[in-house]
Amino acid sequence: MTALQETRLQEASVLAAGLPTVTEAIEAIGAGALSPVELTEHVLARIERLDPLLDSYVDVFTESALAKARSVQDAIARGESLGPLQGIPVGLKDLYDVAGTPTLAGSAVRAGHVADTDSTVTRKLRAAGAVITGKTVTHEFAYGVVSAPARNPWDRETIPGGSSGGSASAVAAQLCLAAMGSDTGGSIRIPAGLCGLVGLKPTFGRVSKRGVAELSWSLDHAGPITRTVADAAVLLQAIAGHDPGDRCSIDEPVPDYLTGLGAGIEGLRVGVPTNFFFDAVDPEVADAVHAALAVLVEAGAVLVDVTVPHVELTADLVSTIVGVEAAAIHQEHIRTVPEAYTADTRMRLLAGELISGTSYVNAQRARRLVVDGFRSVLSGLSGVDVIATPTLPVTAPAFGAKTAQLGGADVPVMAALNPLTAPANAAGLPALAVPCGFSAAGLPLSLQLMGRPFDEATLLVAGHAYQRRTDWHTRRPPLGEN
Amino acid sequence: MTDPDVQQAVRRLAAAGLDVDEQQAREALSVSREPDASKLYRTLPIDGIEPMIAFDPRWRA
Repeated sequence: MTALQETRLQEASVLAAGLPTVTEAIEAIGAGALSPVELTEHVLARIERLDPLLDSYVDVFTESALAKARSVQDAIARGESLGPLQGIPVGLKDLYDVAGTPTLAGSAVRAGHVADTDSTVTRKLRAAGAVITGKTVTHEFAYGVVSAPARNPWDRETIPGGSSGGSASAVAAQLCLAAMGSDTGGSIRIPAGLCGLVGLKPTFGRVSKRGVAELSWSLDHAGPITRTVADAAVLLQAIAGHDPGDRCSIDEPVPDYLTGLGAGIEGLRVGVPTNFFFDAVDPEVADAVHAALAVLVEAGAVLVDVTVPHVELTADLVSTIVGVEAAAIHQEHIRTVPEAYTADTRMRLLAGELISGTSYVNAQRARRLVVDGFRSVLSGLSGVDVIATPTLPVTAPAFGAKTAQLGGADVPVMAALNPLTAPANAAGLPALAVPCGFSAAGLPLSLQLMGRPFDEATLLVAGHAYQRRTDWHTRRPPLGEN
Repeated sequence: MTDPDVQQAVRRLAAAGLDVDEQQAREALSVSREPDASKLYRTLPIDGIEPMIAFDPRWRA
């Protein structure tokens, strides 16, 4: 057998069990057991075959992806490395600028747009050697949680969530190895939770938002969606860091997220809220989260009952802040081309125009109460290291549904999906969604871990410890492949 | 929401340069938390708290 034949055999073996995770692919590429070209071709073939069922992509960069994969492969052949993500296929939510291509943000308002330059995250991913597979579906301007027309691979009659729904659908269906999302009230963690994935919203200012279409300056965050916590750590390592081109970026040192990832959680103090977070949650969700907490205890964690003061203010203050900031961002287009927005977005932007300046300032003052509430729980000698809650109170709503059942009442889908994720946006804290089971109907359930500002490392260690003891993240959605 | 609420919303939006009919104003009000939120904020212990609006006096390129 020739060396080439041997490599082909190894590749077939690596890809036979499904797409490798980011971490597995890095290892296989590094060991010469998988070529970046083979991996990218495999991903593109999956997109061609499966995306008609899911509508997760708005644009697939077939030629540039293959060209990048070939350049990585050539570099490897020369004994060089193009970076820690060399040859890894990554999707971008269609809010991230890629030079020379449109950023449509899910809206007809942006028709004809072509980005001049890469977003900072796009540039960092490219610099790390990643292969950009294309743009994924976003809810219009990230102002919602449905992400039509994208579908949830676990049940295509349900939504993938949003606003980063295309990214989550694509990662769950293995149409890329990881994807970028953005999160204003939960838009990374909600779709990650509904699609059985890991979603990381870093601390406000940790990852640059330059070149990412805005919804709300003071609440938007950029972060990755992956299948494993280890993969999220790899992505965060590549994209974190201060960017003078982003006024929200904060100049804090970026630690090594990878070396200590397997350190374990012996003695980790996990706060479990006795208020708010479990008040209106489906019993299936609550049971799964409590089972996940038991796993953390088996791994050495200590559970501590906590009360998070003022967290119940979140829905109002986030609604006020996003409403006003989005109205300001869209003030020109809502006046000149209102018909180009979908009815729902137009309605929300008009509602934002009706919010008083006093309310906006008061919401930003109330935000301090929420920040201080979390601080009281996460700091000091009696403080906990992380707070654990459900990511979502419910499982994925039906595609087309306007309402979902929450605490025995019908509430709008957005209100049903974001109450437990939005507090971390209000407080700017890092938060991680980790798959923790499935409902009786076969839909994913999710655990959320929140931590101290710029302490993503502790969240990642805890999430990784959980995934080493569970196999929820290894399950694959039913797409008729087996 | 009352008819006067809707008519006031139409007038306020018109004054801001947004030409909407009563149905559109009614829909906007239906998703607004503003009436309840503005009342809630007035009950909170936020006297003395400065708003968390970022202002950076440094000059940047």
